[in-house]
Amino acid sequence: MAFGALFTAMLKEEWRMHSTMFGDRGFFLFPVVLTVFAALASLAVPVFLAVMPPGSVSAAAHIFYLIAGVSVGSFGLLGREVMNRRFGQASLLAYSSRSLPISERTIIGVFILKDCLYYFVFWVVPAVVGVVIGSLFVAEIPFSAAPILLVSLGLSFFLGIAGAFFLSTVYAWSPRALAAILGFLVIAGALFAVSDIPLTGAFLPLAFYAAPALLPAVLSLLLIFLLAGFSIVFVNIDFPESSRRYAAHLPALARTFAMTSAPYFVAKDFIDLRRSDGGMGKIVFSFLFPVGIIWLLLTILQYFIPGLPPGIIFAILLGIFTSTFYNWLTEYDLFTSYAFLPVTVAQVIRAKIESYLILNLIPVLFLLVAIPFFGDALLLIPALAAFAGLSLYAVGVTVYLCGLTPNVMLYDARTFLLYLAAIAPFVLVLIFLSIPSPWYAAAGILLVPAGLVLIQKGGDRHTSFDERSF
Amino acid sequence: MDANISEYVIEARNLRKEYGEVIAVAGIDFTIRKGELYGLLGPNGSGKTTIIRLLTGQVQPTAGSVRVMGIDAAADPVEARTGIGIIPEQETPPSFLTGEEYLRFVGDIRHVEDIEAQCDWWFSYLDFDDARTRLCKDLSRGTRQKLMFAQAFLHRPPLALIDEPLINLDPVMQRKVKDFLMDYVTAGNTIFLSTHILAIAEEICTGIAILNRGELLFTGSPAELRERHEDLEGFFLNLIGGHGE
Repeated sequence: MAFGALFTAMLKEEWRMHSTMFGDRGFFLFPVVLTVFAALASLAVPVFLAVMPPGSVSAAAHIFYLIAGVSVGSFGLLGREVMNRRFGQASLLAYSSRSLPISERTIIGVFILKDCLYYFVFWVVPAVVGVVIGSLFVAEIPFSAAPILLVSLGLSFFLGIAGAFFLSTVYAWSPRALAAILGFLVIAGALFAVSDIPLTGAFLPLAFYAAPALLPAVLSLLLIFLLAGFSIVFVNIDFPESSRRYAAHLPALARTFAMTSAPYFVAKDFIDLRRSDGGMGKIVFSFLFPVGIIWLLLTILQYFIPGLPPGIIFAILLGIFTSTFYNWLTEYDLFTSYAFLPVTVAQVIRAKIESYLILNLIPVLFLLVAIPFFGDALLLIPALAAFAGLSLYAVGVTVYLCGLTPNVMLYDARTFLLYLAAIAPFVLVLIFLSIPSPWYAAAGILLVPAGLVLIQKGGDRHTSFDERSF
Repeated sequence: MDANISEYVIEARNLRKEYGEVIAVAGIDFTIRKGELYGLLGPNGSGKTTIIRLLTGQVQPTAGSVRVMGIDAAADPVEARTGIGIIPEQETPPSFLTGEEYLRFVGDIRHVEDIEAQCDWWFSYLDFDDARTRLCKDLSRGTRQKLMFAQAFLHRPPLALIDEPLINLDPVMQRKVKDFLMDYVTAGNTIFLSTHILAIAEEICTGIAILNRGELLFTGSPAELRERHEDLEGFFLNLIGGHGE
């Protein structure tokens, strides 16, 4: 098969995979939403520039795209597992070396190229278009920055993709080597953090954005080619198979959760979390990132609205971010895995919500530490009330809109906008209520029944399950 | 309804399923008596899997009715699925449970009382004890199929609906499974088997239906065909003719 034909086929496959999951319109709207968000974020740039050190905004944007590239690269590598969960036994062109006379090197090369081009068009270009729109209204963003941003964000993104493929290739040969590289990166990152070296000195795409010149662009490209080239030359599809064995922990764990409505389902959720890549640590780790964002938002909000009670705002925002735990819980199975058993979607959702409530102990512990840190320990009462209300309401909205597939449905632009529209007003109301007195935020507890109703109605709504398959 | 309704474990009346403009099942009637090993045959995409989903309440019919063990599967799908065993065509067991944990998980849902003894029996009978402590995601396709087979019969249901149960199994295991199915119906149970492998149906089924493009083209038994000196393959190909996909 010619290189061009494989490339075209992979592009089509990628599009059809997404349009099958989200619908043509739903997926097509995603870049539109991205453009709108980027435009709105651009309008807020003067606010960020007033409270953050110079260069922080652009650094955050480039780091975000680096991480986005890593996630795209990782999805490309894990795609088959994800697709199998979504569609049953899926077969992707990336695995066609097993049945067609195409070398694995050709396939991985075309695959990386396809990922770069496809996601550049869908993720990077819309964001830059949004920035261009924002630049019409914001003097701090010169219009001339757009082409530079297109290149620098693109380079960050490609670096992320190439990095993910590189690390995956290393893992395929030696998990220990991967651990060593990751260890080295962590130590290097820590040393960098305490050093005086600016980020532009280490992050080449950002260096290009800060001072556009040929050298950082060429060096970025060289690094990308080096990482991608390593993956192509040393491609190894024979990943180390897991040979780990486990005793039957499920019954004992189910006894621990005997107080829930479906102990075996709850126990299964925790086994999924523990045995999947990253273990329970990934929950805690994934939680630290949003907590960091909350700190950042608090810093900005306090600057402009001095009367804000930081502990309460922390609790409100924590409630929203905590609802993403539900996405973790629904990551490892689909209802089709249960559809042939005598259970309903509503029953599975209820069990997931019970697992979710147990996981809420993690953010509650965060709050118990954070609120006294912010000053008045008594404010723990309204903070916990606001947190509980928003956590349950936000997960209720997620359940109602997305059922058991939030990781898929929230990529649908319409669903995502509905999600924001359902949650944002309550967040704002609670924030403003807390200004005259932090105790007013305790009103957030009123969202608990709303959340419960949404969960109930969401279960009923998604129980009417009808899949196109014959 | 017929006066002798109780003797049917499956009754489909004018059963129809449309997906948009596509007619998956075109208003068919059939009944299956207790103790039959009934084979639903048809080419790929003929509507076999949709019929199993309709019979087990996994999808709602566009028109018509379906009763399984006397229960309206469309109105009360969970109740319908409670008393029967199902092997779906494509589903695989959950990735991060071990083989034994999966059977215990299903055993809990189906309220199997002697679950430990059942697990022991199935791992031994299907010769896959190695899967007890391994994660389902690490099992071979054949081993996953054995696990799906075991979960369907774990609670010894009086009726089992099984979609391509022999797929991915080696010849030795295929023989064992076929023997199990024949013994199972001899003991008074009923099996509804969907397959496109004609030899299996000809060998073990007591009744067959041939489906193409959602329409039932034939219902009868392999014995009837033999009486007419027709072999199932020739009859099937003649019937499907140029309509096969």
